[in-house]
Amino acid sequence: MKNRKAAKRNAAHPLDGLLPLIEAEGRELHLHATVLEVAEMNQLAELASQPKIRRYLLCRLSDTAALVEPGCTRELEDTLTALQHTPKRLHGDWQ
Amino acid sequence: MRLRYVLSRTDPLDVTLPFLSTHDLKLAARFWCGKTANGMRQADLAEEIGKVFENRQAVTAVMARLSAKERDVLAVVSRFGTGISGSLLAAELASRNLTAFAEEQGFSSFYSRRSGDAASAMIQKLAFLKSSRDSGVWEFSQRAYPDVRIPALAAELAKPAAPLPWPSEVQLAGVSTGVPRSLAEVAVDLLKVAEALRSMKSWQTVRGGMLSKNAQKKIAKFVPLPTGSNDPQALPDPWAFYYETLRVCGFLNVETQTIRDSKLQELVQAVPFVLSWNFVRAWLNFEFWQDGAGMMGAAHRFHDPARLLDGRSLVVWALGRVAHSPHEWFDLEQFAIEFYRATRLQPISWEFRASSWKPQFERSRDKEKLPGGRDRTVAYWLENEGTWVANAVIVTFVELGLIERGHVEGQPHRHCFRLTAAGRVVFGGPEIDVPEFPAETRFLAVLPNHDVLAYLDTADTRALELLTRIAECTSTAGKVQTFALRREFVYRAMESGRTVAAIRSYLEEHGRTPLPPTVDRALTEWAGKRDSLVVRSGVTVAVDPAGALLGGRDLPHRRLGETSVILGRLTAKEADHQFGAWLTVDHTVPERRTWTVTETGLIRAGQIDSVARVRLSLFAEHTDEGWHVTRDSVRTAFEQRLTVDQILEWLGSHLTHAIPPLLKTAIRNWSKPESVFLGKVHVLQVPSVETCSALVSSPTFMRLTAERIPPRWFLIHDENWAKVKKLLLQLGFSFNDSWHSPAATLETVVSPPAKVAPAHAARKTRPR
Repeated sequence: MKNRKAAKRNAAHPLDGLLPLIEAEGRELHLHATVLEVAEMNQLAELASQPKIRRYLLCRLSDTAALVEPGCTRELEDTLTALQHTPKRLHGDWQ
Repeated sequence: MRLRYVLSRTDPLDVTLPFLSTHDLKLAARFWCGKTANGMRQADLAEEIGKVFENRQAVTAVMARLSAKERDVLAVVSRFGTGISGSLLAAELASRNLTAFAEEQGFSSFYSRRSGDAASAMIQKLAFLKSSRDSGVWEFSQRAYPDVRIPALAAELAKPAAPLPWPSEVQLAGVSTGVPRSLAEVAVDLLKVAEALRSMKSWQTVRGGMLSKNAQKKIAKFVPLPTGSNDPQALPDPWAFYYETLRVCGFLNVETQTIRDSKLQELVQAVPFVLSWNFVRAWLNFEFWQDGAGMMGAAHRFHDPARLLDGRSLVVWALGRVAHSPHEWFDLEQFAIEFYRATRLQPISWEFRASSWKPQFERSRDKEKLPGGRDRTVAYWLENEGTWVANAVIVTFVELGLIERGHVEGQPHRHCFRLTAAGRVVFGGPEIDVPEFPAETRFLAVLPNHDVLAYLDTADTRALELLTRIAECTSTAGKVQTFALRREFVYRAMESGRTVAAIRSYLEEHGRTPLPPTVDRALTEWAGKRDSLVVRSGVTVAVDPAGALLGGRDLPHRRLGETSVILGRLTAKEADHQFGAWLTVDHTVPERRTWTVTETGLIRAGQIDSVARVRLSLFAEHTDEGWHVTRDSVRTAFEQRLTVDQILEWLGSHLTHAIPPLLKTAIRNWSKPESVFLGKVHVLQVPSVETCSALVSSPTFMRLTAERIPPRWFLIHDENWAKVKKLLLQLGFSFNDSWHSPAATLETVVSPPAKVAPAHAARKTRPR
């Protein structure tokens, strides 16, 4: 456990302590997934540091994208709106 | 352009409906099909009549056989399209002297006079088909006519009767009036309520889809509208009124609690008078509404909504005649009396709830003192039904901008009214042309502090929808209303498909002044904030730890990170075809249950996907044996803002079995420790229940004990042990080490008592 805390303190990436990067053993395809995208890394850090939002984020895909907990899209959108964020909601649009 | 008559029906007549009995079908077939229908079965009869109804030549031939008087009656009916209520038919025919009924007729007279009445004859031979409400009962009722239906082709081929003017005898002059509501004001109120419902997302309804009182209060917080607290002639419950309008017009999906935006937009974008026309059509069908009193609870609603529709139809019919009258202003009391006269053959008659506005008609003032007779009847009618008619005209239709109210100069209690231009078009259609709508394109003043002043006296209703979507109305009512551009409103508008460019162009197009730079900047900033946070649902994410990503597959995609790309939506079949060897994780199906866990928290997971791996890594430690849920790992999860419920939910969703209760307790304890007592206590075990009872009855002894465990044990705190020992020695007890297991003792205590055998039986079974 001490090692874990030490690793957290000395994390190579500033987001590792807040939202870990996806770790896949092999090649994976996530169907009907929900991705939260932001413009800057700091924004993702800010969102991940809010417990009400963090609970709906599963892991990080990049510095500006996070995979959302399966089945929690609506809850995430509602929470973001309730916290005065104005997320653009797109369905099936990847571009 | 002309509007359809507001009371006309266009729904086709379906003769296969079950309300037609075999006898009725035979009669109808004899009239519409002639002798060819003889001997047919019921199903064939309906089919044969249906064919005739769609055959222009056959319908023309049938109509040619009608007498001149019958053709006149048909012309009256066809004015109302494919159907007319009995009350309307009676009023129309009486006004045109086409009925054989007179006012003062009893039941027997009604019955006997039907033989000489053209309309009754047409109903008897089913030239007019009775509606389901009157099927089989009309003949024995005191109603002059039933609700009747005619085929669409007959309605189309018959030349509709010309409109009748209202038989007003009084020409009013010197009327003092206010300013009538503009159609834009009405449209804005409707759109404001729609926007409030949108922002509420869900609202509470009661039986019948009516808005609950709580939901009304909630909408009232979003939408300021004038209430009747200061003005008795103001519309009561305006939120419920506009909600009902939205509901009855079909703009609301009550089940999903959503607004049918496209349908609402389509109507709002139509010619302004069309909107008013739809308002009146909706009002005709308000089941829970009483003019002048507002929404009625389910307990107070009318038991027969058809009667309510009848009454409202008669008011609209009368106003239609007013639209064709040469007079401009009408005295309200005189109108009510003339209304009673015109509808006396089948008058509206029911008990109403007290209205907030009472017109206090002159003729009903001393009604109790009047001798029995017509005057007394009219006086009471004015007090009850007449008050309702007055409220419909002076309260509801004024709110809708269709009527302008006033009073005779110097006589504030002598109320009068006239139709507005919209009222004339809506009630007087189809004979009155729709005039050019004098709409002002530039009706907005956008201020630098984000306030928007809307000049609604001349505003084009077609341009109002976007305003209510992007700005919050802060005014209650009036010709000039203030709106405030709000970030959340603009955001919601953009979420429903509007772009910031369209919003900017709208404000520029309708603004009287150029768009202030502060507003322009705010719009750009709000749009930028929205674009910087995107939730993309229903997409496909491909993850390859080796970084080869799609492995050369030619699929449109976008790179997210070093190991992941995002693609459009793929079905399971397409995914299997394109990515056969990949591990597929469908986020819409429940997780695969592959984990097992021991009560000490050791998880065996086998092959896991990244979703499971991330979850495990958040609340478990990876050891050589596998994943282990420990106090430290769970505490780390809590530091990462995970909750106990989420950990238990994740565990439960992946396990092949239920979570061991001990582990569940441990996880809860690691979040919030449950306090237990673990200390030194002594147990005193007494040999018999009698001794135990003696000790329990002793206050001295019981003061020294911590707890009694029935039937024969006592717990004693360590500090009292010496005192208890001393007391017991004094009482003559000795101590031993022979401990009797509580379980064994309990068994004997709780085991069911043996059946008491009779004395003689006991003697027989007693061993010698």
